[in-house]
Amino acid sequence: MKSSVAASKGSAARSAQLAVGRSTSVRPAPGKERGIVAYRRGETILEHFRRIYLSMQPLDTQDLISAIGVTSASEGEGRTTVAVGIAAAMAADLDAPVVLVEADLSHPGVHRVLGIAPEPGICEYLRNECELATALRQVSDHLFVLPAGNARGQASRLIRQLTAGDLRQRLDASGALLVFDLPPILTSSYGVLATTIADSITFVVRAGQTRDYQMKEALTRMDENAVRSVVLNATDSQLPRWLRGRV
Amino acid sequence: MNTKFLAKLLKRWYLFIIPVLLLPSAAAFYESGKTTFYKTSGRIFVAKPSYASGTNGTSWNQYVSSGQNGANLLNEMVSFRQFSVKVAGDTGLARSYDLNSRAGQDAAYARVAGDVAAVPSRGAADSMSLIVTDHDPQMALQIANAVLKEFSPYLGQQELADDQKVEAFDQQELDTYKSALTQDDAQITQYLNQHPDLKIGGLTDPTLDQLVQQQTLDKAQVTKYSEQLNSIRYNESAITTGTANLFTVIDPPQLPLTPSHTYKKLIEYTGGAFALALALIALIVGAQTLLDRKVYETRDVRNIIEDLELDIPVIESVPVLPEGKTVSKNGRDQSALSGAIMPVLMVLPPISDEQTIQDFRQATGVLVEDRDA
Repeated sequence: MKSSVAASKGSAARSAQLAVGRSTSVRPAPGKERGIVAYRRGETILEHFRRIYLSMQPLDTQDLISAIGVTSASEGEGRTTVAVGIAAAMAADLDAPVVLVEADLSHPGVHRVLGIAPEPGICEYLRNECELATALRQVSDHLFVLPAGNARGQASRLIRQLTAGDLRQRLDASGALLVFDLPPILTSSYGVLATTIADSITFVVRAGQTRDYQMKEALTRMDENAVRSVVLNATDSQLPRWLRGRV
Repeated sequence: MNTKFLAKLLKRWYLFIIPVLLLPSAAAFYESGKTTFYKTSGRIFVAKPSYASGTNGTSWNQYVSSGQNGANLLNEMVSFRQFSVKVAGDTGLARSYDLNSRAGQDAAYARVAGDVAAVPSRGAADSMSLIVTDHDPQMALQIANAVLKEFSPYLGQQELADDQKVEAFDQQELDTYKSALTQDDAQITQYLNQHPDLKIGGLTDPTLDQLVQQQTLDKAQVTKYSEQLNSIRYNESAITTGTANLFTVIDPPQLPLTPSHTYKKLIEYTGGAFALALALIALIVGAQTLLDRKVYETRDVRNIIEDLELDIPVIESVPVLPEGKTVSKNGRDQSALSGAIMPVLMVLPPISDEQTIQDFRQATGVLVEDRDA
């Protein structure tokens, strides 16, 4: 079962790799051509997130930050996208397993991004309804996902359990690098509490959406030493191309 | 230049095009309608009056040309309400306005006074031009003709009234001096009778000299006022008989066939409206820029971090990623792949038998996610 699942799961990536390996002098079939384009686009996107996690690493040591948290001031700023992107970049680059932990228990979204079943997840694990092994899903060679599951209106209580419990220790002990998709700081009552689970925080700001006072308020609430980077998401030059160089 | 300002301006450029086009167009339309007027002019020869060199207090200025004097007189006449109303009475304005009412007279006066102007003719010192400008070409011609018709008689009446006042005054003065002269004569005669040894031009006598001096002065005054009275009476006679007409029309005014535009104001109005539109847009966009507190650039993020005096070393940016289409899996929406991050999954390597991962799997007992199940 496992082997067949693994084979089918990796088929898309493999087909892309095969397509890359073909001679460029031969015009590929339309389907394969789309595969090349998609692969290159994936690489380009990955590069943005690679830059984020690499720039967060301390310069004075070879040790990687073992738990990166991704949060924002409010919802809809691209936390999940950035968290998945960072986790994917780390999984693609590093030999260690990378676990993407969805800690936004009220508004889970990772399952939609990665196309996995939403349950069981952290909530079920914290309520002792399932084992960690059941909640944790492997989506590529090095990338594992722990979805939020169904909080059933107990998100606040469960997040306390999560920060105080042994999940972090268990995952650390397994040698995995962790990426937490955290709840927002201002619109979630447990947003600040959730940040304590990560060693280093990436604060996501959506260009053209987040207000300066929201960003200030959120940054003020958090432990200033934990925030290691700010990611300005969805940046787009508002000037037309012909004008950019002139201004 | 502030890029935020520019970006806001360009973002909704189509909205700002509206005032830029609308305001100048409205101004041009308004001004072109307003400046459609017709102008007619006539040239008039101005004769120098006989009394001009006299000192009877007329309004004729000896130091300027006849044309200028004529223009001054006509402009002064037009400024008189009574004259303008009289002119209006000779034109179609009499039908437009009720000239028996104060309001009608005011309106007619305003129209005539606003329409009529006189200037000395260029290159001809003894002529002047009457210029009448009106929205209605027929009316312009009617007013011009009415002014020419009424001007001379009205001026004559004015002059006559003035002359009569001066004549009365001069006559009074003349009578006074004549009486004084009679007294002077009587006093001298009496003094000579009292002093038979004296005679005029004989031995020096201070009293007699004073009496003679007074008599001479009074004689001079009598002569002066007599001459003035003669001049005034001559002028009055000329006015009364109609021989005092100083104005002769050389080129009569014609019906203006084409409107005379001044595009100068049209350009001013349109340009002003354009500038106003630009200023309005700048004001709106400027206010929007000032009030917009959204974060757009890494510079904005850096400023906020500096304001908070935080030590956040890394500021990265991720561009807008094209939204990937949702790939529904077996019709179950909850497990559908979606979002811009989807292409990244293509890059990730397939699951292998790498030792590290096998160790992790064993440590956590994790299963491989079946995305196709």
